[in-house]
Amino acid sequence: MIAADAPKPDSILPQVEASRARADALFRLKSAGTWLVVIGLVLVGLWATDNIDTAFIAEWGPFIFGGAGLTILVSVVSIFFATILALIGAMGRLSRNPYLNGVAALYVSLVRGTPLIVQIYFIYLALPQVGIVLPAIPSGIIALSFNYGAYMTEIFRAGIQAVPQGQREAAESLGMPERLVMRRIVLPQALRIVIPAIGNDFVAMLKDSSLVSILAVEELLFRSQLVGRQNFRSLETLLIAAAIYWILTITFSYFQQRLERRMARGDR
Amino acid sequence: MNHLRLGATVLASMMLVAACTPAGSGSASPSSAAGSSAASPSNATADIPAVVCVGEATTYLDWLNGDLKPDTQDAITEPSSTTGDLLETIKQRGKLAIATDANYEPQSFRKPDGSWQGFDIDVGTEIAKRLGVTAEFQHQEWDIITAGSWSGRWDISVGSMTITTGRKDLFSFNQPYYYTPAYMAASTRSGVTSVDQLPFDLPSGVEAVTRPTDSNCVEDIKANRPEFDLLITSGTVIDAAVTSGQPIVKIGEPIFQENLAVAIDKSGPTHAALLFEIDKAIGEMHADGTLTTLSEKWFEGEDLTQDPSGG
Amino acid sequence: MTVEPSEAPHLGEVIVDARGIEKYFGRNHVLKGIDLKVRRRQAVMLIGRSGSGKTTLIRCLNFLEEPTMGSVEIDGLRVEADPLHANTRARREQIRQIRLRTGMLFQEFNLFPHMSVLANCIEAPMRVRGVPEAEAVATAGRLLEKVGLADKRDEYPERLSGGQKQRVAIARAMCMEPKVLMFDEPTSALDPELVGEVLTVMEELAHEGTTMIVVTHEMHFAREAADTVVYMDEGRIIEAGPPEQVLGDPEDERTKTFLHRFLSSFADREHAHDPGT
Ligand SMILES: Nc1ncnc2c1ncn2[C@@H]1O[C@H](COP(=O)(O)OP(=O)(O)OP(=O)(O)O)[C@@H](O)[C@H]1O
Ligand SMILES: [Mg+2]
Repeated sequence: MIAADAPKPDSILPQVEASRARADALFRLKSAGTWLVVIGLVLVGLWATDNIDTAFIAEWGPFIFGGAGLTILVSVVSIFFATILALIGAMGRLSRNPYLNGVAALYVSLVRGTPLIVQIYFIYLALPQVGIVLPAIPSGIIALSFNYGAYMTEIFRAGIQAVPQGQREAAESLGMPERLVMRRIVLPQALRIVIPAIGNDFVAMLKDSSLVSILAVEELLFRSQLVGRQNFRSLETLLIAAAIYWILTITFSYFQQRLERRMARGDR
Repeated sequence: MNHLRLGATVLASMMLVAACTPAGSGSASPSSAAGSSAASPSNATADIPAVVCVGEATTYLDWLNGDLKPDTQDAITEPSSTTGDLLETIKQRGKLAIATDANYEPQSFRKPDGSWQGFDIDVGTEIAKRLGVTAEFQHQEWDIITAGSWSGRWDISVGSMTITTGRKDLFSFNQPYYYTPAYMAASTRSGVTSVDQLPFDLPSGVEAVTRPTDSNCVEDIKANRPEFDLLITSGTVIDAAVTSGQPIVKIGEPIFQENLAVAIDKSGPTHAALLFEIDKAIGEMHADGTLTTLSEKWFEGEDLTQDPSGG
Repeated sequence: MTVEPSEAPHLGEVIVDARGIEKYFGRNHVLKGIDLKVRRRQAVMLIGRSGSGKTTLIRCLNFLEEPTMGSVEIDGLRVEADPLHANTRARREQIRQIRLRTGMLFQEFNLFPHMSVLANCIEAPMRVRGVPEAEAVATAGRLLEKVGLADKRDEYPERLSGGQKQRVAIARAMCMEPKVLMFDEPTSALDPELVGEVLTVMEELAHEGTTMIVVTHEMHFAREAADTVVYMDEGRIIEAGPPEQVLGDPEDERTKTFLHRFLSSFADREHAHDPGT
C-alpha cells in the first residue's frame, strides 16, 4: 500500500540509487579494510615474535622469487598437456569402443585413486627401472599433466554431454560424418562450457606444482625450502613463497574472471 | 623404497609424539622423579625426551639404530682399457654432473644469486678440473642420492658421503677426501652441555626421529618444537650452526669418525677408469696441499683432511 | 495401409519409398507398419494426435531413429532396418548417404550457436560436399535472400528471433541440395506472431515444387500447401489423400473425430496464423 502523501516513485528514484551506490561502496571499503587489518595483524604478530628478519628477506627474496618463473612454466605446460589428455580421455570415455572406453576409464580411476605425490615419485623413480629416464622437470610436468588430465577428462566429458543432442542431430542430418560433427560442432561448444573449469584448474595447478619440488625442481617452494633450511629460516622463506603463490593465483583469477565475463557477454 | 621408509618414519614419529605427550606432562612425573633422584641427587640430570633427531638416510641414523658399519674403500686399480667407460662419456661431453644436497653448510649451500659454494663444491670443481672437464652441480635430496640407482641422471656424488659397508653394495668409493667427527648437539633450552647429563644410554636408550635433512632438526629446536632436544650430525655442521647463532651446543666427544668420499653408482655404466682417475686426482690433492687449503678455508682453519686413524 | 500419392500430373518419380516401418521404444510399439511413398515435387503433410508417431516416422526416414523393421529408400538408395548390427562403418556411411539426400528441420531450429548465419550455411557444403568457398557463399547468399534474411548473414543465431532462426535453418538445409525436406513441427516453438513468416517461406517452397514432408498442426497451411495430407493414429497411417478430401471430407471416423476436436479447439489460432494475412 502506498500512502497518499508518499512521494512519487520516480521522484525518489535517483535518491534510492545514490544511497544504494553509497552502501555498495561502503561495503566494498569495509571488506577491503578487513583484509588489510587481518593481514596487518598477522604481519605485526610475526614481527613481534622477532622471527622476521627484513634484511634476510631482502637478501634472499629475489632468489626465491626467481623460482616463480619455473612454477608458471611448469603449470602452463602441464595445463596445456592436461587439456589435450583430457580431450582424448573424454573421447575415450564417450566412445562406444569398449577398449578405448576401458583404457580411458582405467586412466581416470587410477589417477584419481592415487595421490599426486605418489604419481610424481612414480614417474621419476619407477620409469627409469624400465629404461625411461626423464629429467626432473619433464617428470614433474608429465605427472601433473596426467593427474590434471584425469580430473579434466570428467569435466570435458560433462562439457561434451552438456552440448544439446539437437546440435549433433542437426549436424548429422546435414550429412556430416561423426568426427566432423565432434570437431566442428560439439567440441567448440563444449570448450566454451569448460573454459571456466580449466581456469579453476589452472589456479589449482599453480599451487599443486609445488609438489614437484620433491624432485629438486627449482621452483618457488623448492627454493624457499632450500634457503630456509640452509639458513635455519624456513618461516620467512615459506612466508615469501606463500605471498608469491597468493599473488600469482589472485592475478590469474582476475584474468580468468574477465575472460569469463567477456565470454558470457559476447557471441563467441 | 626409500620414500616408503620416509613415510613410515614420519608416521612413527607422529605416533611417538602422541605417545610421549601425556607421559612427559603428567604420568611420567612420579617415575621420572624417582628415577632421577635414584640416579643422581643433583640437578645435573636433564629432563628431556629420549629422542634424537637426525637427517633422513644418514649414517647418524644408522648409528642410532645400531647398524652403522664404518668402512674403507676397496682397492682401486688402473683398468686396462677405458673404452665404454663412464670416463669417456664425461670427457666427450666435457661436463661432470655432480649431485650434492645443498642443505649442508659449510659443505654445500647456495648464495643469494643462486650460485653454489662450500667445501664439497670446491672439491668437486677441482676434481672436474683435474679430469679436464667442467663441474655441473645439481641438488638432490640426500635420501635420493644415498638410495642409489641414479639412472644416469648424474655421474658422481661429491657430498661428504661416509663409506659404510652397506653403502658399498650400492656405490664405488674413492679414498676419503676428508674426515669429520660425528657429534651430538643439544638445544640450549635443555641446559644440557655434556653427555653425562643425559638420563639414558646411547644409542640403546633413545628413539630416533628423522627430518628430510639435518638442518631441519636444528630448525625444529629453533622453532621451539618440543619433540626433541638432541641431534646428531657432522661436527662441522654443528659448528657452522652455532656460529650463525642457532640455539644449540655441541656436547661430548666425537661419537664416531666418518670417512668421507666421492661415490659412483654401481648400477650405472662401467666406471673403473673414472674411479681410478678421480682417486688419482684426490691423492694428488691430498699430496699437494689443495685439500688442506680448502679445509682450512671452510672449516674455520681446521685441517680435516688428515686420516685420524693414521692410515 | 499404403499411401499412393495423388496422380497429379506435376509430380515426378518416387523420391521417398518407406516400406513396412516398425518402431519399438523398448516394449512400446510406436510405428506399426508404415508404408509411405513421396514423389518429386510432392508436399506431404503429416497430421495426427500427439503421440501418434509422426516425429518418430520422419526421424526413421533419415535414421536419427533406427527403425526396428522395414526399409527406407531415398532417391534410389535403399537401407534396411538392422537394429542388431546397426553400427558398422559401412552402414554408418550408408546412413550418411541417406542424410545427404534429405534435409531435416527441427522444432528447436538447432542452429550452431558458435557460427554466424553464413557459416552455418556453408559449413556442410564446404566440409562435406567439398564445394569451393566462393560457390558455397554464393549459394548461401541466394538461399538466405530467398528466406528474406540476406542482411543477417554475419549475425550470430543468438541475435535472431525464433522465426528468423527457423528460416536460416531452412536455408542451411537447402544449401545441401537435398532431394526432400522434412520438417518436424517447424513452427510450434515459435511465438504466434512469428509463425506466419516461416509458413510463408514453406508455402512458397511447396508451390515452387520442393519435395517435402511436414509434420504440422497448422491445418490452414496444410490445406494451402499440401498435395497430400496423411492422418496418423497410434502408429498407423489411417487416411491419406488430397487436403480437400482428408481435411474436408474424411472417410475414417478417427480422422473425423481428430479434425473435429482439433478444429474446434484451434479455430482461433488457425485464423491468427493465416499466412495470407
Ligand atoms: N526416444 C524415445 N524413447 C522412448 N519413447 C519414445 C521416444 N520418442 C518417442 N517416444 C514415444 O513414442 C510415441 C510416439 O512419439 P512421437 O514423438 O513420434 O509422437 P508425435 O506424433 O510426434 O507426437 P507430438 O504431436 O506430441 O509431437 C510416444 O508414445 C512417445 O512417448
Ligand atoms: Mg512430434
